Amino acid sequence: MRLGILASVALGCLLTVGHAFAQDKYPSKPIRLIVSFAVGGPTDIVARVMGAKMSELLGQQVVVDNRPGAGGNLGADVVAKSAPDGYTLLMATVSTHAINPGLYKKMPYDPVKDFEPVGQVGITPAILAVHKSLPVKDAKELAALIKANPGKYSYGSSGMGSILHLCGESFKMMTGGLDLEHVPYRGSGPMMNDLSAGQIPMAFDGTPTMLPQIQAGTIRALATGTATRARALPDLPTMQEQGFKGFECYTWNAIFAPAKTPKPIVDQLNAAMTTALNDKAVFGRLQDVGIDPTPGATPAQLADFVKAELAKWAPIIKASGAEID
Amino acid sequence: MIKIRNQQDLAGGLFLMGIAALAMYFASDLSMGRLVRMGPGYLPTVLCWLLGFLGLIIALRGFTIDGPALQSWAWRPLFALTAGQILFASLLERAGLVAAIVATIAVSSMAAPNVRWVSTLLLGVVMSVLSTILFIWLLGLPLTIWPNFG
Amino acid sequence: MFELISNLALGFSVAWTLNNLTFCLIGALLGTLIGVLPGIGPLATVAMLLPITFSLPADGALIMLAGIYYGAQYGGSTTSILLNVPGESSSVVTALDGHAMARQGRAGAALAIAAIGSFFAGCVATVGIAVVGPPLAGIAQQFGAAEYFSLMLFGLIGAVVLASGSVIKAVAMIVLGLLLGLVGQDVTSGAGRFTFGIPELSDGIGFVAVAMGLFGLAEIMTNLERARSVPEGQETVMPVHGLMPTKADLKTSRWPILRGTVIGSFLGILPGGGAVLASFSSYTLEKRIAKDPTRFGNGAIEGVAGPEAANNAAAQASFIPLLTLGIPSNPVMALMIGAMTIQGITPGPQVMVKQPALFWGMIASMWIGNLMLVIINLPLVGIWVQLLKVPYRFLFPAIIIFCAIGIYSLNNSPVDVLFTALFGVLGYLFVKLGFEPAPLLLGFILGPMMEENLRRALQISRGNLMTFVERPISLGLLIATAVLLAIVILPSVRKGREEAFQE
Repeated sequence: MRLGILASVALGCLLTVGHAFAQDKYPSKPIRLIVSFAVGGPTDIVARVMGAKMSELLGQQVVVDNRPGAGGNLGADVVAKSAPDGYTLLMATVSTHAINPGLYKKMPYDPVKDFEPVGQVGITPAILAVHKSLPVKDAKELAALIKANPGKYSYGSSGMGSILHLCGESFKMMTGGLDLEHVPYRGSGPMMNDLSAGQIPMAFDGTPTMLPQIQAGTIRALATGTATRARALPDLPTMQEQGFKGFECYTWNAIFAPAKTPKPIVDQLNAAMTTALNDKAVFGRLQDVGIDPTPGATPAQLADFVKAELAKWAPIIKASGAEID
Repeated sequence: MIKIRNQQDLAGGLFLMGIAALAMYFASDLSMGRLVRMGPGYLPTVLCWLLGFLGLIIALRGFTIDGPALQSWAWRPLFALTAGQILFASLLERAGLVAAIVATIAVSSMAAPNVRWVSTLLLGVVMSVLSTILFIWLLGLPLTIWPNFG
Repeated sequence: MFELISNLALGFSVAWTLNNLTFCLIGALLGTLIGVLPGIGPLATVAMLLPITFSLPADGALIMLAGIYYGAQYGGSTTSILLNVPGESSSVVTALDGHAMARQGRAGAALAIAAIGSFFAGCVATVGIAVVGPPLAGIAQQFGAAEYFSLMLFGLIGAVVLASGSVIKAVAMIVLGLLLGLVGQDVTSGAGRFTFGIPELSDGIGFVAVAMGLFGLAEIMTNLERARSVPEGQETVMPVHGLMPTKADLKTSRWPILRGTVIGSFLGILPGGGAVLASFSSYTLEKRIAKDPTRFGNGAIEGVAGPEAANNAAAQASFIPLLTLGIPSNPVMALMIGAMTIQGITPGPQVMVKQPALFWGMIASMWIGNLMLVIINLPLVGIWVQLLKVPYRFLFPAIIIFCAIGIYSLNNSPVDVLFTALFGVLGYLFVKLGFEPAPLLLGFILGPMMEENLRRALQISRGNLMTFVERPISLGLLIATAVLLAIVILPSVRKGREEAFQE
């Protein structure tokens, strides 16, 4: 009996302590920002730049926690299954929230139902480029060259089902099914090695990897994948300008919280993101890594954006036949 | 009657053949493709055959060439160290770094022939303090120190 | 020539400032201290320390990171030699003879020769980068998928020589390593192989988990087993005599260091398995040309000197593709790209032209860093060797904890720690069955690269098998492979026949 009273008192104490914690002003302890890719990669850099500024703004440390694996699904799943208290966030990418759901046979989470959108960081345009030895100046000429030489050309990508693979597949689809072989690599670095050396003739990739090679003249940029021109390459016409109607290929980063995170917390985080993105230093650093920041995007806008992205890629993934166990 | 001359080789060869058979079974639903256009199952299958074949030769050598007999196993270190690793893996994220370290050291120490609990506990405390300072405070690894109640 | 001198002068003027010298020293020291923890190799060290450099100025950050990288490599060799725990792929070979030397009480000599060999190789390779870096990088770019496949094949055949026991058992271990290397998502098709629905397996089994299990845990298990036969109260301590290498040691090591440096400088430029191939090519070569190859695996100092020189030369040379082409040749260099990017530097062919101060400053700091490391490490040899005097019952739990944290930290994944346990059991089984783990590890590292490049070469050539012999570099490597195969097989065939005749 006495033990029972003691236990309930102890439990009561614990509960009040827990309660007191909950009533504290958010954030009252460090926030984990999960990155589902390795240290030093583009998503990690974005997270660290944003994390540093947001720590300052929120008055609590934003700790970057890398959980690489399974094409980003491992880290995203950690957040999907975390408590919706605003202390575990995800730096999401086009892979975790737009491509993987259509690509993986088994998805551990639902990109829409399991997450609360917080805000978008920015988008990175994909650039179409060829090795300098190819006698073409724009995307149209490239398509014609491939058509005239069936069974000869291939394109590189950073992996099966990666955004760069799907860029190539949309290019093939829009040109009426070119005979163009997909050659996947383990990431963008080794692919760029082979592209700049001419081992493969063409590829799509983001601006940060493409720019130095374009400037050095080892590869030639043909087109930008976004609807508007890339900030880093203002003279390069877009695919749409070159007559590829509706061609849109880019990667993006956005922050998500687990579903059912209270709205005040989401709004507070979104406001911090907007302030961070409007900061000159942060904006500049993100631009350095090829991102066109999109400050001021609301959670609702991000929700619509994700749905649109999911709808955009699903048919292309299906048509490409790409599939991951 | 056939005499086993090298128990080690016979057991080793049989072990490799077992691995090869098991891997072959798990690779059976992967598509093979052709030599010039290999599927994901091509190389695993080839390697399984090769491994099985090598295992067979090694096992047969057990009958022809003299060699060492099988030694007894030291079960205590094997179990204690394996259990220690499993404990660390399961405790680290749930109970924090300190609990994981103390528990792992306590269990792993049982691998030694004579356990001295006081010094083991002391070692656990020293390692906890050291690791917390180094990995969490100085290097900023995203680990928790204490269990997370609540 | 004049240009080179003025470039180097510019470099030294950048590196020789108080700030940058301090960064270099801090980097070398931190790298050594973290890298010397068992199970924490250069990749984990650089990844852990990378965020710290984000707040530094660009040249200081890169100089410090480069220092961390070399420091961690020295540290990694130290644990290989003292504890038989290789923290990265290229120090697997060092563990073979280095640890055998430590068992004989010659740990000090092994550590010192590793430091001296590395210093020499580092100096030569740094000059190499400055003089012929850019043209060499161009040659490396001639390596396409077909060439890589042929190179990996060459490496695998060479791996057989690593075995100090039965050749057929070594071959079986290589094949098993190849099979283990295939675990994970197939790069070409996206199909999961041997993943059993475990998402953590989709990117394959981590090298450190395999190496730690097969070498580290299995080593501890056998040590403890041996300790059981020692009477109560008598601690097993490894003997220690003589900290520094003898004159004879230095004389024996002279040529291996030189050959290792040459091999490492060339192979290090190649993206992918450069450093691994370098260290064990050097070992293979030394064992092949030795008068008495049976000494290898039993504490031959050439087996430490050559590979250590080769792996350090390769580590320096791996900066060439990064600095001249902006392309990472290994995971550590990929981290360096991340560090440069966050500093606002776009790595690429333009760095040399646009930021000569940074480029040459880094090269100069490499030389300074190597000098500092030798100054830090030679006196430290004494301290590291003292570690062996710590009673084993304290030492082994500490090793286990550091390894577990190191393995966890690579991917922040507890599952990787579980794999270590699994491979520990497997490693113990191998000890009991008389199999050697080193060839397995090489198969494990080279296998996936070989398969990937084989299939990629066939994809690019649209299924034309002739691509491997039509390309001159690939053809040359294949011929070299055939020659090596003959060298490897003939003596063992002869030996086998002798054994058969004795029946």
